Formats: sequence, structure tokens, C-alpha cells
Amino acid sequence: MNVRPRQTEREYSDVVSVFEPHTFALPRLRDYVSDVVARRTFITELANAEIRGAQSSTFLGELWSLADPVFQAAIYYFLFVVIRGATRGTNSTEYIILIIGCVFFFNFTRISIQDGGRSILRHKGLVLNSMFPRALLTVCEVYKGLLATWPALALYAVLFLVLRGPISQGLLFIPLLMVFQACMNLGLALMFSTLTVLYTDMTNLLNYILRILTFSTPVIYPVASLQPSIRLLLLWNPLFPLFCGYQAIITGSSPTGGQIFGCLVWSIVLLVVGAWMFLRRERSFALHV
Amino acid sequence: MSETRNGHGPAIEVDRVSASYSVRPSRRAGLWGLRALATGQHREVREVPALRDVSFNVPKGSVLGVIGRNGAGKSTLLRTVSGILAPKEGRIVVRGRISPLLSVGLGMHPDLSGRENVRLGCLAFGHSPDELEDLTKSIIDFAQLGEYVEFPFRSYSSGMKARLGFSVAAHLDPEILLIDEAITGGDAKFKEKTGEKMFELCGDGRTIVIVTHGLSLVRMMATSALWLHQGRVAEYGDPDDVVNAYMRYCRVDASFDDGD
Repeated sequence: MNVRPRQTEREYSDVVSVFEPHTFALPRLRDYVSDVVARRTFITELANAEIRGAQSSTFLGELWSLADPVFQAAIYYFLFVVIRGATRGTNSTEYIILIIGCVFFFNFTRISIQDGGRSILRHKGLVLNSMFPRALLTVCEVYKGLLATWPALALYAVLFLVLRGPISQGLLFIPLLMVFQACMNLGLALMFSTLTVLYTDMTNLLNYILRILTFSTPVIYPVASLQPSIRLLLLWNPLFPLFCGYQAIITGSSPTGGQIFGCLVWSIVLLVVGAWMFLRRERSFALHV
Repeated sequence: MSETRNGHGPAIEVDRVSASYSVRPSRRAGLWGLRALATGQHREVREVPALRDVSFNVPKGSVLGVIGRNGAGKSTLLRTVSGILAPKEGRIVVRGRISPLLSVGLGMHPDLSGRENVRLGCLAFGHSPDELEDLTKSIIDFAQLGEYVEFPFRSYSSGMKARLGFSVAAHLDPEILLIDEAITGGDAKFKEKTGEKMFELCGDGRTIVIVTHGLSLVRMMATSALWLHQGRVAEYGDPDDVVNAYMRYCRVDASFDDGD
């Protein structure tokens, strides 16, 4: 027995979607970007909710966002001031200001690659059951990386003043370098999130890639200590000019024109290549997750 | 996917669609794994055909009930129609705004509360932050989860997950609503409420595609029915005829199994 209620006339919107076999064609970029921008609140809500969700089961809760950098700083203080300072007798204070600063800035990249690279796999349920631009998930992880970096940088600012770090005009370049860093992080996260979906082994490899990136970037050593041949070799690391710039600022000078140009070029290259890889394969993600 | 404007014709047009998904067969660990590596078997990816040459139309304002045994390709059909899964062959045209939530509860984040999941579902569908408060309130009121709405989604029973999932899907105001097994969860009272909401949505001129094992629901609400068997269309047409054919098949199949 069919007891459906009587239909009322309804005006449908004139949107027509056509789904055909997957090709590697890129979507219309302008539409895609405006779709992502229109859903920007989704990014911020998801990021904040996930951070809250992850911390809700812990005793310290949201205090962890501050406790994390404090512990990190304490570990590096112990390593570079107590152990290294005692054995080598060098000026450990300058060194610790440099290293902690670089570690905190690098955390933004580390979280973006680590979590952004797995963003599609982590949200498999959403990918298989909801239709929205998948790049939102990767952008969200990069945004979470930025949110996690703020408390560390605030703590660093206090430490910088207490340890009498050099204050110079170079500090004004920090926002610009962070914009470059965000673009690079997003490019790398888009690249790795595509690769982890297509090649499951990539999830394991990601940890090693991140470790190589950590040691080939001037994070826990000063750029000045590098031999010219090694320096030349590391120029191929996209993060190299960025962290040379950060180190210049922390040591009281400003990033050079070459470093800023290097950051600009790498930001564009990584963002374009990452977006190109991601958008070409996005429609096949549901097949592989 | 391409999106154009000009919405004349049926809400959903599925034309000779085939779809498949890739599966990596599980391999033995240890030295056997090394052998697979040496012989190249480690690269083996099996393509499982889920839909084969499927065609049908769903006129605007009608209700299509999709039935079939487990593994028949029903969920894959919904994913293909919603654009989540690209077809391997064929073409699908969808005219109107389609609901983004398919399998009730599956798209929800386990660590987030019910309320947070509701907000995210609305935002993912494209609702603006201004509409969010009122919409979230209506969804939560309908789901009747009480204080549980502030608890993590992973702590919900399957019935509670179904209640929240259906409530989100029904309130997002899509023109085309795709529902996978929505009303199998929840208690008797909520099932009644869900049925009423479905009637309301049907009467409102929306197009609904519902995948269900509830044959009486298909008889009662659907204007047409589709029986999928091993990825192919076994029957398509009047709900009573399709359900009868499916029940005959199930009885024959069950007696065959018993005789075995």
C-alpha cells in the first residue's frame, strides 16, 4: 500500500552536477577556491573542536597547549645549556635563544606535515560520506599547526626578553616569514596527503621524511656553523632560506634579500605543485581510503 | 565533475553507470611477505566491481527505494550519485542541491560532541555561520539526545548515532536527500518520529533516495523501487512489484540455502 502524502510543487535550484569517469583534469580553480573560502568557518570550527576533543580527556586539558612548549624548552635548556654549556664552556645563552626559537617555529611545519599529510586518511568517514572540497581537511590541519604554535611563540617572546635577546628591526619580518612558512606548509601538506592516500607505505615513510627535513633545516644548529659545501647542498631544502631568515632575526639582524626571494620562490613552487597534485587526484580519494 | 545551470529534467539521471573500488588483498607476514615482494605480488591491487551498467531516472519530487542484499552495491550507488565516488563508466546528472550526508553517523567525528558534529555537518554543507545557531537548535531538539548532545560521539549507542545522523540530514534543507539505512536505528518512538519527518519531506516536493532493508517502508513511501543484485539492476519500477520479486528471490534463496 502506498500512502505517500500529496506532493506540493517545489522550485528546485538550477544547479546541475554532472559526474563522469575520473580524469586527471583540474576543477575550475576559481570556483574551487571560492567554495573553500565560503566554508572557512568549517576549518576554524573543526580545528578548534579537534583541539578541544584531544585535550578533553587529559587532566591539564587546554593547559597542554602551554605545557607542551614549556617542556620542550626545558629539554632544550637541559641539552644545550646544562650539558653542552658545561662541557664546552661556550656562551650557551645565545645558543639556547636561537635553538628554542627555531624549534618553536619549526613546530608549525612539523605539525602541518605530520597531521596534514594524514588529513584525508584520518577523516575517512567524512570523505566517504560527505561531499565538500577535500582540501578543507588539509587546510584545517595546517591551521591547527598555527594554533598550536601561538602559545609557544608567546612563551618564547617572554623568554627572549628575560634572556635579553637582541631586539632589532628584523623582528618586523617575522609575520612575512610566517606567511611564507604557512604557504610552504600547505603545499607540503597537500602533497603528502595525496601521496598517503595513493600509496599506503607513504604513511610510514612520512616520519622519516620529517626527520630528514628536521636535520637538513637549520633548526638545532646555527647556519654560521655550516661548512660552505654543506650549505650549498642544503640550499635545495625549501625550508633552508626560511630558517636562515629566522636565525638572522633571532641573532639581531634582518633576513637578506636573497633569503626573502628564496622563501617567495619556494612558497609559490610548493603551493602550486601541492595543489596541482591534490586537485588532480581528489575525486579518486574515495576509491583509495 | 562539472556544474552547470539549467535544471530541466529528472532530479537524478543515471545512465549505464559502472563503478568499482580497489582492494589490496591481505598478505602473509614474515618471509612470505618477502616472497610477495620478490615476485611483485605486493603491488597487486584487486578491482572489485560494485555497479555494472546501472541505469534509472528519479523524477523531481519522487521517492526511490533501493533494496538488495548486503554487498549488492547499494551504498556505492549512493556514493556515486552524490559525486563522492567517480563512476568507472557512464554518466550521472543531478539537478538540484544534494544532501552531503549518506551513511547516518559514519561521517561524524568520534572525539567531538554531538553538538560540535552537528555544527560541522551544517558548515560542510555550506550553511553560513549566521544560520548555524537556529539550525543547530532545531537539529538537536529533533534528535532528543538530552545532555548526551554535549558528550563525545564515540560514547553514543547506535540508536543515538542514527537519531543524530538522520536529524542532521533531514534538517539541512537539501532538494535531493540520499539516506542510507537511516531508520534502522533508534527506538520505536523515534522511528515513528522519523517516519513523520520523512512524510513531511516527501510532501514538500523533495526528491528522496533511500537505501533500506525495510521493505514495508519502500511499499509505503516509495514511488518507485530499485532492486540491486551483485551490482546490476535486477528489477526497477513499481515498489510493490519490485518488493514482491525481491521477496520471492529471498525465499527461494533461503530454501536453497536450507537444502544445502
